[in-house]
Amino acid sequence: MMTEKTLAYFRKIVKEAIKSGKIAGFLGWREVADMPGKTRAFVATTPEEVDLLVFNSFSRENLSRLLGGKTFYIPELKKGQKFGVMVKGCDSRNLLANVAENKVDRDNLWVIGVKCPGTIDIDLVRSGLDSDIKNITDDGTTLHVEMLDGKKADLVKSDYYDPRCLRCPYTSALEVDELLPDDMPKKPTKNWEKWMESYLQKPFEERRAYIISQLSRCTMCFACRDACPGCYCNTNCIMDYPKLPEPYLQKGTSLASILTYHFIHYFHLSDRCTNCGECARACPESIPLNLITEQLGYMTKTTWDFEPGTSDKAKTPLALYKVEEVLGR
Amino acid sequence: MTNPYLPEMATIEKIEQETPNIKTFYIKRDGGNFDYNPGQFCIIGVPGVGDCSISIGNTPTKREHLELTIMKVGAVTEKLHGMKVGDRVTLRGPYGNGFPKDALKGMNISYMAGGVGFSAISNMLTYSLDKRSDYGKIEILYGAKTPADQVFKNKIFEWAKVKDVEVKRSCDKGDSTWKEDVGVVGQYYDPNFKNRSRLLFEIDPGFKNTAIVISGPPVMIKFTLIGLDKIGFPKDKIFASLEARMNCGCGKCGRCNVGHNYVCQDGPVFTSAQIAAMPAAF
Amino acid sequence: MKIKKEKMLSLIDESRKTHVVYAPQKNGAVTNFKKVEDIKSIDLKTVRTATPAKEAVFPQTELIYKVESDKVHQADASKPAILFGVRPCDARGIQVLDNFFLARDRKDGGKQPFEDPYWKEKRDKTLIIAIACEKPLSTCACSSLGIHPASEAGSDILLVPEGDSYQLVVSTEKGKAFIEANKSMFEDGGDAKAAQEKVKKACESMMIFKLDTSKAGQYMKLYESPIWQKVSQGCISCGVCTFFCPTCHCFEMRDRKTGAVSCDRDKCWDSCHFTVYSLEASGHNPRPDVAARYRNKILDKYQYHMTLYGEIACTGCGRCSDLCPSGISLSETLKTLGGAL
Repeated sequence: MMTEKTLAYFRKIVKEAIKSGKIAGFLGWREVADMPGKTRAFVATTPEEVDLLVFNSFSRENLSRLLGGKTFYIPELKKGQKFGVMVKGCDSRNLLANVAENKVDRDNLWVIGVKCPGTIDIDLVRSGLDSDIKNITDDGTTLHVEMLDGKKADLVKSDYYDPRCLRCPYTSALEVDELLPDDMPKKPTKNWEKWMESYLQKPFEERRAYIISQLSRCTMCFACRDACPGCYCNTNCIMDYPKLPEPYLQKGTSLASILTYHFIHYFHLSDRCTNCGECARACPESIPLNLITEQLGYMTKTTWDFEPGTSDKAKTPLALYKVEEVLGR
Repeated sequence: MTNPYLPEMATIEKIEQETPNIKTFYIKRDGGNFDYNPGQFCIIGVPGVGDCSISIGNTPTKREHLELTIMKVGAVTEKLHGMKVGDRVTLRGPYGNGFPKDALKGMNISYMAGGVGFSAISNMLTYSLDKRSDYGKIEILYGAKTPADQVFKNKIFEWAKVKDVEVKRSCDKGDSTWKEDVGVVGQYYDPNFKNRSRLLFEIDPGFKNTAIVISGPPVMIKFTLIGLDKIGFPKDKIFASLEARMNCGCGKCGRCNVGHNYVCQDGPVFTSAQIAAMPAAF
Repeated sequence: MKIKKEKMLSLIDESRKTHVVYAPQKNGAVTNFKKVEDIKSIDLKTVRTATPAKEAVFPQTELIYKVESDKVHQADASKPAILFGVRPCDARGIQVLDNFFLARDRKDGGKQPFEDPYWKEKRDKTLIIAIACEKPLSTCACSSLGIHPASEAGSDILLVPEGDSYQLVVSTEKGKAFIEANKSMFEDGGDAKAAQEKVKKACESMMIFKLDTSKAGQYMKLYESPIWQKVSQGCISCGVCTFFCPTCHCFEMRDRKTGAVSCDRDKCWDSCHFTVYSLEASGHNPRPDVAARYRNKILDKYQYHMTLYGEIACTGCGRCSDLCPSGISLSETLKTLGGAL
């Protein structure tokens, strides 16, 4: 949770930027009426609308995917004008990765970053309760839940972090124009590499069987692709290409099609995925899709010592080659 | 109840090259060709590739072959263009409403078509020629981009020979061989155009007993309807055949909806009045 | 009439000899309708399955015919089925789709010449046993849509939990025949109507998600309005709200190559949110942007279906809002649209 003071400061600078015409709009999160524990992307274009902007532990969506690809949000800008966007750690990495790949013009953006306190997996909270949530608030260490049946519960916040946040080593947004004051509670972190190593200790067959059993639930709704900030192919995505007769490239839900689709997605992200975990979050069938991308991220890190989305200049390793690789030395 | 999704195998019995990217296929279904209403369409498929909706170009009174005029645009049509006489395809249909052939009886008809869209109205045209005495004067106004893009180059002269049939052709862009009109086809309904539609402006200037049957690319239909509105042609006597991406053909798969209407089921023939009531039909 | 809870389960177990039984079963973190192999795996605790029950009548991928050795072969007929543990919103969803797939009379005077033979066949052979909801989820809104947590609409038999038994509400001949055939399992006594009312009241009192349906059928006035940009803000054009909707019915038929000139043809779910859904071969797309596609979805449910069949094609199950990766709430959308009228 942002403190009142920081929130007021944040809204003040955005309002000023809108009033002065410095920015044409500001992309942030706002709360959703009737849906406790959820936020949605929102573009504030007037000072009044800025008062709706929030940042809290339920601001889970990665906003950088709205700046490139299918739902291009940046409106037409007057000369010298920018478009404001708020990013947390993972969003900022995806933004940097897309800037490095020339998909987003960084000069058009005014980026406000926050030090992310980690986000709460609301579905995890809900699954552990007898009755669904009527209202939920977060005081930094405890989640106060009011349930539909009138009962109340106080939950220890650290038990309900989104697993992706616990593994994320980047709490602070990178290379932003303005970083909001660091007054948020610290999130606990797990050693990602250690966790990955222990996962990789499991026999290959076991991991494969697990992943296939999970993927078999896939309905090919493409939420993981569309939520992915690294997927910006628009209608050129091979899964969208009309009338491909190959049996493994069908809209239908045969295991062959499902695996083909997901592995195409993984291949395209192999050295580019920042492990933001949006694919897993977006999945309506709760498939832990980031298991494989995290493994790819681990391989990228250990093989090339490269972490995607840490610089707006760096080319990804598979987009480059070294002379000695070509010569086979 | 028949299964509207189930096709029947059919054979390509003849192929005519109309333009560099348009061919007319003469198809015969194994179980004999079905009866249909002029203006209805069928769905032709290449097993293992897919299928696409195509207007049946000929009159149902002479349906030994179904004449499908197909432009090469997508995966299926590209495959079809590579096929030879004797090759096998699947065919299902007929779908859609078709033209009100009985309500048009006794009326003069002005047929206007653009590009490959000619085949969407040539069914009604050949039907009215076949039942010549049932209909009044007939006018065929046809336009294509260039002289090479004109379809039915031979057939159109056959039709012009029939009594009380007038043919006017135009090209958006002419060349040295082109002796006919130049410009968009909608100009025939422009009162200021020198070679304008005789039916509309000289034979029946009050539009009392004239109907218009029209088909072509969306932009052509759109501007023609606007032009006809300006000269006050009654909206309920303009019949346009629309197109949309279709898959099932029978009003179930959902993709061709315009408002609450499905083009495949409630169309493809709509009156101009119906089109005006539909949201953003183009 | 009533039946003991464990007896109902053994009856379902028994029915597996003659029927294919679909029931909610846990798979990983979610519950979905699946063919029952073991009666113990049935999960009646989860209020809402991820995918709606329509899947049993309108499978996501369904073989409809094959082309083999120069002939077209229609797919084999399906076996009789029981759809067990359906929630009232899903049962109602199937009822709503009947209008469309079974080509019922249209209110606008238009014709619907074809009915879907695959839907009809499965629908005729499927017995729907629904179960009333004792507790809602935070996005449940069935009461806004003319049904309620203990509504029998769309089901053949409705089970209303009461202590260690289910009270039965039988609405169709098909349901009566099933009970007649298994008479010994059921016992007389109890008041089904009263039990229904009790469950309905208790569940409704906990519901917080409200859908404003008063303006349904008037949204056409907003067709050209820029408001669609506002309500669709954040939409990423994925297929979640349509694939998981109990009343969405779009599909695409695709050939799956099995040889040089042979293929299997599948009927697969499709979504009007997909960018290529209405893209024509010429490159023209009548619904080119997110706002146009979102508008089509909302209008289909709250406008077009009203015009065609006089009812809203929404059952208030809340999946579209709950599962949306972008947090777009149907309740909010309807409120915003209603405010603009």
